[in-house]
Amino acid sequence: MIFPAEDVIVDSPRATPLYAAAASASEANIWTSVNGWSLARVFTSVEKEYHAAKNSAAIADLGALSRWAVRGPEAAQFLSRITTAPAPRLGVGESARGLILDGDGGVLDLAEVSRLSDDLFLLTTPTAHARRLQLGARGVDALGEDICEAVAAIGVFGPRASEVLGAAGMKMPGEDVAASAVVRGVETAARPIQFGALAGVELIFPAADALTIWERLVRRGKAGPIGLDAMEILRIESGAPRPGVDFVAADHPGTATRRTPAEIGLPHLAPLDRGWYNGRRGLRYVASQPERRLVTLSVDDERSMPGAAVYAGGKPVGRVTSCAWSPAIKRVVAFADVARPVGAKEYEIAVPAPGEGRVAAKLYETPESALATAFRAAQDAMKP
Amino acid sequence: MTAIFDLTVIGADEASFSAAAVAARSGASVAIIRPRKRKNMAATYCDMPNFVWRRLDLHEYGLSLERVSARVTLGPDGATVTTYEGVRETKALLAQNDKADHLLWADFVDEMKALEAGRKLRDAATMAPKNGAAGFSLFSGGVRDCAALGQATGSCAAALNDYLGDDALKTHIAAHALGPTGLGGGEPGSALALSEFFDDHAWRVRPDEDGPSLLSTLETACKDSGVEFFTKDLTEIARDGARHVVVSLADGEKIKTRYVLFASPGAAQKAGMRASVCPLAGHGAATAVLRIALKRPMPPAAQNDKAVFQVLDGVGDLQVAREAALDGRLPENLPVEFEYAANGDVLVRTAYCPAAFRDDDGWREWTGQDRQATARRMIDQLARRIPEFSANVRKTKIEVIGAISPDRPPIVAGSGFADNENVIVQPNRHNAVAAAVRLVDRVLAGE
Amino acid sequence: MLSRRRCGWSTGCLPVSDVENKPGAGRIEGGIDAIVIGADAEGLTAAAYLGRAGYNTILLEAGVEIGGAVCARELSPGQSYVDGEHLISILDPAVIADLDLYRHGVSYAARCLDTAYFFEDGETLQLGGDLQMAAAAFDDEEAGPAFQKFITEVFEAAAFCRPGFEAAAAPASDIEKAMRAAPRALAARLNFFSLAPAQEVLDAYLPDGPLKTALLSEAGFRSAAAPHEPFSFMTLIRRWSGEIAGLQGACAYPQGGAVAVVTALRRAAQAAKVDIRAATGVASILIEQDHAAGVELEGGGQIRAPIIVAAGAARRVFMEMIGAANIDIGFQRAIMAPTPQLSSGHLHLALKGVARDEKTRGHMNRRLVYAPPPEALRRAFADARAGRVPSDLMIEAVFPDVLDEEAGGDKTQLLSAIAHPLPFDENPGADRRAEIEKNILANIEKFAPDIEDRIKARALRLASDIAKSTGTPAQDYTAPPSIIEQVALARVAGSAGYVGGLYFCGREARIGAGLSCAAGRMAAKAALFEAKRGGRAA
Repeated sequence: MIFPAEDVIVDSPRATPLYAAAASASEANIWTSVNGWSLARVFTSVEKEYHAAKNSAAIADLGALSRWAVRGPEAAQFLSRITTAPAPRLGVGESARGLILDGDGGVLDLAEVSRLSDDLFLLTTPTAHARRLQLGARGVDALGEDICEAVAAIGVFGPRASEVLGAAGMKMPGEDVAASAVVRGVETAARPIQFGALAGVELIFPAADALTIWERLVRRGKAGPIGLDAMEILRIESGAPRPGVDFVAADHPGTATRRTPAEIGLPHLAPLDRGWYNGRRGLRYVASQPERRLVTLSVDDERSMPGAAVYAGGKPVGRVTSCAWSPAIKRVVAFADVARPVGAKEYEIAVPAPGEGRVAAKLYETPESALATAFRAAQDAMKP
Repeated sequence: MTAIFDLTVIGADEASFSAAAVAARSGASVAIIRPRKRKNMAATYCDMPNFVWRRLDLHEYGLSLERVSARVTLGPDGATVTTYEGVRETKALLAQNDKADHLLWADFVDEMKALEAGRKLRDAATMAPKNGAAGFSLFSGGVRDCAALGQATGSCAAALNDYLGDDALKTHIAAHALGPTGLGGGEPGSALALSEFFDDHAWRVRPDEDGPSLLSTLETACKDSGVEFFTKDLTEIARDGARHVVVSLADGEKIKTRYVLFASPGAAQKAGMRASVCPLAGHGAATAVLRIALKRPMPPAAQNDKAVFQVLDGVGDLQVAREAALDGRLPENLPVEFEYAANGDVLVRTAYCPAAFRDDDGWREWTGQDRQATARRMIDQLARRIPEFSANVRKTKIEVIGAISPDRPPIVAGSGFADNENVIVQPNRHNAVAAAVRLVDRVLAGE
Repeated sequence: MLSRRRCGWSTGCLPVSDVENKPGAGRIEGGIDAIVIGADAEGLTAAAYLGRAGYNTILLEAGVEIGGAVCARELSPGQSYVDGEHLISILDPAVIADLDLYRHGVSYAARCLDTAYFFEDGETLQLGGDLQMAAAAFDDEEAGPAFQKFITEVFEAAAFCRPGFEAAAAPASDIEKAMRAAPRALAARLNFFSLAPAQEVLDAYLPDGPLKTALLSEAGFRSAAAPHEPFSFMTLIRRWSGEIAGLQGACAYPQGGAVAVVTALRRAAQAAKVDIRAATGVASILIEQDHAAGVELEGGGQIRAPIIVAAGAARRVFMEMIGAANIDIGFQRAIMAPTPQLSSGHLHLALKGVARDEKTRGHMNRRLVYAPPPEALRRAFADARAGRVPSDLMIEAVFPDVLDEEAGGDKTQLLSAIAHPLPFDENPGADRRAEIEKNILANIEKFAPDIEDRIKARALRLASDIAKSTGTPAQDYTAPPSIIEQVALARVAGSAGYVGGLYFCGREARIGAGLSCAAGRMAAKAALFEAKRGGRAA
């Protein structure tokens, strides 16, 4: 799951259940807010946190995301209506990623659905969609309940993730199956999640016990907290677009930009040939020819910044939507929203420098874009 | 013939003066025609948007601008609903009061603000002649636009029912959204008032008692910007060629002008000009404003002297009141809005008065008795919510805006609106000043 | 071949007996090109169009009657009345021409009905059926020229708007283009007309007087939009955009009543080899790969076809036959918008004694309208909305057997009246019905004094009664909302939720009250166009 764009102005952000723990772990004391919740940007240093997540394990407060428990005999149909995730096909314990689309196939948000039991699901989205859930439940026997306030959530990322969980008393039955256990007397659910295409585990437990679990992960599991800035690098490296930054929701007030799943580089999350979801029929008419595409580029320069113009064949074709210096490849990795022809491989990015002021950029394959490419290839192969 | 003006504004209220001053500052030649008798003493405070404040540099005139801190509805049995301009703040408050609708609040506000179709409709209604068939273009929208259009042309009550579950909250929103327009909750197009209401950033000027009022300050600002004043009655508006309009005044003087603007429907109604097609026009109703001086200071309702209050029992009462007003009667259960002046006076307002009264002999004008009866009823409505209010009233002053003489023929000749593309009437708006200034900007820009 | 008269009056809604090939449970029927669901006028129209294009078409009707709300019913032994509609005014001329309805039995007993308006103060006003001529000849120094200007400008706007009322299929870009090409003055007027209350438009054009009162009533008639409220003038524009026998804004009485149109449509469908099956309810619409694939019948069994045209209410088609879980959320919200709680009522009376002399018959040979004073009308709408039965009602009445000589009985005279606005009741009790009937009669008395004593038989047909006969929810027969709302809704409903091969011409796709058939035509046209192109455009 991905955080949405940071709030522009919030007078007094709310504290997540983990705020007290995060605040005492925060040496840098740099904060921001997402969905009105306080969130640490940096705890110690971005680089340190990044490397911890890459090579060891890091824990993040995921309390700012929107979470719903969905119950009822038709909960699966309801969720497959709301999101493109194939809820009816999920076994108990399984999770799937998806998108939320409007009736014309425009992307509203990302989503993640987990089946906890036959008729109980967990829906996580970057931003809240209460109205959509209210409308979607009309005529369907399912009930959604906002559990944001009631639960705390910790994400555990990195190669040592399962070790950390084990040390804390939480055993995962398998790589991609959710489980529940009682950790120090606290009813806790663990489920595999994907931060973009990057795997991790999410622990969800009652808000009242937030600090107990955090303590345990830090002490016994020896996992350090990771802030939003380091996660942003991981996000871009993994190729996951961020709502509100790399694309704007199709129903955002005043927006004229509508993006289809293919246009934000996630066609594999909204396949036309599997289960029904809201917007699939609308998408059918617009999916064949994406007008734009969100691509990931690696840039041989440190100066590129969001908003910079992107050129292909000497002509301006789009702009950089977000970028970060990747310690792994020692280059800037950037998301760029570019116009057709979407097939170009070589781009240039404007940088604030004298003269021509452009640097070369290459398409960069991320785990996410690899999935998209494989999906497109499979689709093309099926065409007569 | 005195001169040729770019714009002639008819009216003597804040919106008219602001529009005139802004137009004059941006280089247009502007005239203001205001009625000879001017008694605007009771007027409640009016919204003054931040951007108009800055464009007119009103801080130089010794006024200060502050935000409306909250919207409060005093319901029956001491039930109070409060919302703030801040969405999160309101959401938190609703959650605290156990209202399930708090989950939907942010989405609700966003969707109401974003009723694109509504904005299109409002603009079409006000700017019709300049926009060609803008209103009609609503027919050509895509499926998504049409779904929104269906919502915007529907009723306020239907929109609220579709979204929210709590009756007190619905009553509160309806009261604040519709109160300034004088519409009933069931009328088609009243949903537009919702988008107006949530789009509106309320700022108020609360002048000190001994300082200049906002109105006189705006008048000064007009004069400083070179606006010419004509304190005379209007007798006729007629076309002069394709581009101009000639406005005739009581003493025979004529003003030739490119555009005539009625910044409030009240002024237009008074002039017998009935042509505004906006669903928010609220025809057939007048607005009464009452200033109440108290014998001894009282603690403000809900301990908040900077909020705007509504007194209403239920959403349905708005429709009943609207129908009574159209029938030429003073509504029994009159919805009223009030706020506190800097000196502790209570300023009460209602847009649910009839434009003229009707009894067995037919229609008749407002009389002094009617004014008194209206003032009494407004006080009674407040007394139903505020203990010992009636006994504490020392002095009242009432003014009625938008009352009409039933038998007077319309001043604008011809087939009204459609043929008078130089005459622009602004409908009731939540933020009349902001709307008037934006309108004038667009008119002068030649849109 | 049956005679035209017998056909017109009596077979309109008799059970179809020639149903032989009902599929049994579990059977799958193939080889069908198109299925039309619902055999009301729009459904019949769509089926006839598809059949004529050479498509192997099946028309399925859940009830036993063909024709929907419009059909002939017995009032007293030997005497019947036409339920649902008593005049036609917005019947799509293209349908008449394309489907050869004249050849299939439509002819006009009266093609250009004059209207006599009656007012509370006992005054009357006569207007010729050709309104343009009537305006030109209007004998009043002040109102005459104003009326002429009004009619000219409004008729021009109404004619311009006509394609907009075929909303489901008219592409947005076409309307946009037409608008840009519209002269400036017309464009400004269109703006005014489409947004303003009828009251205001009339105030702008006409002096106070009976003419204005009459037109105000016309504007509010059979619409939930009250004439003093926004968007209500469009109701009149919609009515006057109609063209009957080449005459804009006119009303006609077909030989045999409105049911004759339905009968002709049915014959046109049969002539086009449409297989009409009554008592065959559709349980669900099959959708495969976002494309309609056929229907599942209530009794079991499937019929497969790549084109499906649905004529029922959107609620039934999309929520029940497809299911909420399979349609888009925004679409569902739009089509499920609450209907106005307001309706019209029909009262059919058999009166003792028959007027024989030419003069009296001449007076009865018209459309009679009682137009209450503007204030009373406004109160009537308020009352009806609040669930009270208004004391003042607009009445439109005709004497069918005077208009249609052949239909006349020997001893009784038929009167058919529509009253508006009435409150909408799902299930009105006896007291309520009595109150409604009493008030309608009281208003009819305004132009036909002492009628009460002459009544031999009566039939009060409220929304709930018509719904009961057609086997649909009463909600389907509430008065339509403002035209602008209907256009918006029709464009949404007309998209049929983007299901490929599914076309919708039910209540939500229609614009204006009265028999039109335009929705059925446009649905069939769209189906044919897309079938030829091999898919639906976005």
